[in-house]
Amino acid sequence: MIKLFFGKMNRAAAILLFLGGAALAQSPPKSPPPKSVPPPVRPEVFGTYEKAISAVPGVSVKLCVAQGEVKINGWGREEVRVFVRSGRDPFFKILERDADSNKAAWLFIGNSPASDPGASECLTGETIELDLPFGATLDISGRTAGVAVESIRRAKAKIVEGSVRLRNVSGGVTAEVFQGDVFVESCLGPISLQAGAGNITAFDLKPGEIGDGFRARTNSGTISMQGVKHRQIDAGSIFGSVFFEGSFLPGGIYDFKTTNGKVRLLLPADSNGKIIAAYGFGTFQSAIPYKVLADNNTTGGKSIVAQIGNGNATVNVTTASGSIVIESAQ
Amino acid sequence: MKQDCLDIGLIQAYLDGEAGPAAAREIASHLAECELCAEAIAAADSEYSTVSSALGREIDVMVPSQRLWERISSEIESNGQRKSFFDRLHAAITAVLPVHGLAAAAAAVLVVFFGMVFLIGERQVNPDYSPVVTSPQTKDNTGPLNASVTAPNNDMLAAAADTPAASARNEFVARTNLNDSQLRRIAAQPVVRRNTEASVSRGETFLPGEESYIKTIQGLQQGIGAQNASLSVSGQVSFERDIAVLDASIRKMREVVRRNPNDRAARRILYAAYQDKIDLLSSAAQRQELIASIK
Repeated sequence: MIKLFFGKMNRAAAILLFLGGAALAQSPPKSPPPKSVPPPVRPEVFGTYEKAISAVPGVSVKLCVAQGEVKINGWGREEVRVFVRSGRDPFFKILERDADSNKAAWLFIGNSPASDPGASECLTGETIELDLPFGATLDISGRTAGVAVESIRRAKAKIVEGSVRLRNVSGGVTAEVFQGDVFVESCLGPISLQAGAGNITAFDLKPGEIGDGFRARTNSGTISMQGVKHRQIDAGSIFGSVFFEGSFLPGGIYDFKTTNGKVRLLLPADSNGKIIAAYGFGTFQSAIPYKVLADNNTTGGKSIVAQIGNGNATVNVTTASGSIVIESAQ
Repeated sequence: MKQDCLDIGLIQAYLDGEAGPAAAREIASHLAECELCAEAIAAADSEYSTVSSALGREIDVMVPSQRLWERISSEIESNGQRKSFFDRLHAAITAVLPVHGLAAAAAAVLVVFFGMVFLIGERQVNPDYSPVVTSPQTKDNTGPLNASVTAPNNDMLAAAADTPAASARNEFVARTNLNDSQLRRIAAQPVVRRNTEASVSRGETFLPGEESYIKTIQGLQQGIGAQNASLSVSGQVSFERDIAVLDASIRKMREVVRRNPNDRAARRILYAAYQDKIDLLSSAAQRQELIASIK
């Protein structure tokens, strides 16, 4: 049985070797290596485009950007305009129309599928400019994009890499950047800011209505708040400092947190607040006089509860190994 | 700067991703402890980011530093010396055969042929050969493993029998009543180091409310390597550093809470660190989702 099998195997091997030899003999002995075939070149569709569409004053605009510098401005027209320089042809996809005016009420702006079928559905351009009605709501997501938004009602931005600047947004801001800085100025409403690796700067922010809060989170970066008038502030960084300049409002709840950085509060000398500080292996110092309500000085579990003024705001400050510094603004 | 602080060359190598894995871990843990070095690396990282954004496209063409060139050269040399017979055979075949497809086909035919010859030879040597692994020595589930079984991780398990951990393994086998193949399946599964596993192995118990944090973190940690593969070098450095900072903080505060369970401040810091770690891991997952959604 085995002998028979080996016999067959030998025959098969001989045939294989013969075939291999024949293939080698047919091919030239030293032929040059085949040249790599270049990938098919897509027709160049980059250019300058401008389009506009009628929209209701409170239109919701969803925008996706693969790459480019994006500038979005509010204007007084009931119209959405998009301008792309050195980029792909944009297109409007109306997701919902207003029942009365038949104008666009919900709009998606992306790359025109007809111009380049194989390309991303997200806009690409060196510069992308949008004009939206003042009352518009914007939802933008992007891969590599610098985004600047100004004078609209509400903005939501989610960017992988790039910086986000928001200014004069009246109905709330949500910004999330995984690598890059976030800068928010003169905005109203609930504010939520998040940076993976980057700094967050908030300047002159107010709540739109009672209960609107301010939240800022960064993993590696500094959070700076100046003139933030929200009564609920929650700011935290893992590997960075948290800086707050302003007053604690009566009844306000403030949370400042860092794992390995400094928390610096620059307050008016007549500030009021109950400071509940847990600083583990770190330090606590205040240039403003305070009354100690409770104190624990054991290593790793250091904490203090101190009252400044009448103490009608609650201020929680937490750091594992950083320092907490309260400075007087005068 | 303290005497044991990192020098700027080491910091630069770390930021450039040129420090080896072990060195990177040491640096990360040092950064978690040393505020001066943390500030120094933050400054260097910031400079790196500024330069990256300023140079933009030019920096995408990464130019290896002298240190990296040296490592590349030594790696090439050692690879050249380590070339096995099969590598050389492969090189010879691909040199002779002009078309790679033909080379691959010929290689496949050779492999099949030698495989059949080997199998037939095995049958002749061991007529009782059976593909089903049966080891009389393992019937009681406590004896040494059969060294002749050609299964993955066999060497590892056999070696384990000679280590001080063997008694623990035997105890585990006795307790769980697992047979060899089940043990091998377990051993073949990827090992993921987690804080809880470390804690359980040390016989530590969870602090009140800690378990849910740890479980959430475990869930988020799965697949985090793949999620971070698309991060830039500085992004990966930041992520690893942040994780190291949080782990160091959790470790330290856990000790404090363990010593004094009534220490509310320490507990607050500990849970804040856990929450930060959850946020950090969630952020990595969300980032990946966003990248996937932007085609």
